[in-house]
Amino acid sequence: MPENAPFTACLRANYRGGPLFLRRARFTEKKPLAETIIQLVNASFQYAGSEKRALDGVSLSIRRGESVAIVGHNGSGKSTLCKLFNALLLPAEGTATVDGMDTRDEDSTLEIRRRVGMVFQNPDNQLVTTIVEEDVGFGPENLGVAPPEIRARVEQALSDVEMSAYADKASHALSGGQKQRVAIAGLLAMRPEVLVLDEATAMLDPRGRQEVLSTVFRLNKERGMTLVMITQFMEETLGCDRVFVMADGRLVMEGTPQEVFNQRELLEKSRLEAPAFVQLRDGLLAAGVPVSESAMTCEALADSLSRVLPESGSKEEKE
Amino acid sequence: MPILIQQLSHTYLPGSALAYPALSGIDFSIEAGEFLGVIGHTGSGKSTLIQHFNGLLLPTSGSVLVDGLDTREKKLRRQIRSLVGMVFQYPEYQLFEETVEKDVGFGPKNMGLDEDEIHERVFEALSLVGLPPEQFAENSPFELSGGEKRRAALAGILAMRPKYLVLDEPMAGLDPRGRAEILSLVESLRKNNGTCIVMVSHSMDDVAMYSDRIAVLSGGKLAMLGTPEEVFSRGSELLEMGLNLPQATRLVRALRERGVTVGRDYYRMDELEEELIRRYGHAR
Repeated sequence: MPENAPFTACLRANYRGGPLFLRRARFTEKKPLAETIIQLVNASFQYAGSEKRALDGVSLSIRRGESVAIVGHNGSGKSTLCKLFNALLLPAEGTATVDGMDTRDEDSTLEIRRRVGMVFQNPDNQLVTTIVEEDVGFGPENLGVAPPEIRARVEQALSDVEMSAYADKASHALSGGQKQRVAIAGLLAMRPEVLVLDEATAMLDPRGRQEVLSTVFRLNKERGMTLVMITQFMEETLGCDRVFVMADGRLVMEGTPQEVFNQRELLEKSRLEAPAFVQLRDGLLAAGVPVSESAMTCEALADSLSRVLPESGSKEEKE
Repeated sequence: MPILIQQLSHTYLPGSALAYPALSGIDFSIEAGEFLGVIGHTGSGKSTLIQHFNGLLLPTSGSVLVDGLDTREKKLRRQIRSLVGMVFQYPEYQLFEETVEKDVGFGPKNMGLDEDEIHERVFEALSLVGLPPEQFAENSPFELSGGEKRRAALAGILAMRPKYLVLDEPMAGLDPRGRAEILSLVESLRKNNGTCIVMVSHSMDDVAMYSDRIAVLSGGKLAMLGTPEEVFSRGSELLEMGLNLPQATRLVRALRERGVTVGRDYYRMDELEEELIRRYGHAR
């Protein structure tokens, strides 16, 4: 393909609105960068026809560059909450702002969506074209980015998710984990500031989950990409800076994973439980085994136990 | 009588350029009343395998006999499908009727049962899954919460009173309590009704906790078949197949790397916890 050719000619008809929108983008980027990138103030939401609020007076702020996990029982409002983060839903009461922009301001919608990219649960319904690189180029092309720039972004994005080898492959033939990484690459090509994963690993096998998690945590650590992760797997939250706990439409807890998972009673009330190794740690502590109170992962608990328990070679091992 | 899987091979699109052998030479049997866990990496053939148990897929070669009934016999298929209940991933997406009662009653109705019998079975199934019929029967299935929908979909299968219940990732996407509810329901079906459970899951902990035996698929072949203890003692092989280990087994291995050996390869957290406490007591 020649350097200046349209990235995917068939999609070109779609970005008539591009230049106008880009001017707005440049304008907003002049504003000083706020420390807080996403802020909800007393935000509520109710689905049409539903009797109760899906979200009820939630206030929270997410800082630029941090990693945040959102956990909660089915129907607790996690997904609704995340949809407020990029104006897929608008708060009925209260406000949601992204980088200072009010999500209710329609003129900001596109810019908000570019900044906050979302990956959903099902790997099979997020890819829109048949070839991997075309899929990754779809976003920037819709933003009106020039073809040579699109190509550069696509290459970079695929390399960021370690999928460069699949650039010209058919997207339907990929594994679930690969599809999710391509979906992430599609967002990266739009240069987002926040990645929101709405249970993006729920339908994946262990290997696929690992692929996706290591990709997003690397982007967070190395690029300072803000990461918001909704998950039902409590152990996935341990790598995050903060955990938000939702229950019945309310934000009931927030803190470091350590702080949150120490609140066993409140967790229980929210229909959740601590990660398995935290439960084991607490069981051991209760039985008087002096393991480290901060151990939450397999590795940390093994380190701590190896200092407490006798090494092999002692008489007991031979039995 | 068991489900007999004899030299089962299955090739998708046989004879074409896209022919893909998904299963080859699978040979084992599933005993009535047992809890069989099925694990394997994506593409290992798990879903292809379980779809043979009620004749949704037919062997390219070999055979599957359910209580002696050959799934290849078209005449027997209705009978086989009432013996083997199949719950797919995200079964709640398959709810379609106007009321919960009608949805759950769809299977029994297709079995040709009379109204009273259907009604009785629907109420029984709804009670089993923890959706009190007097409260839920008249609701639209689409007004239920995620976890309730999942249980309603499961009730639709239970209403057919299957002897074998095959579940593909029944807990995917549920919160911890929802997972526990489904697991304890399945376990009680086995205990109280003697239902044979075949459960495909990515959660090694759940499989380890409940299975009598575990079948491990890899590249379309039956790579291992044994008790949880037998299977999870071969941790390195499982890891090579792209599988995880139960968390207890992971900790045992991490301890071993640090020079601490615990008696055996534990695969249940509760048992490992007891052992660690015992070991600490001994050491003092």
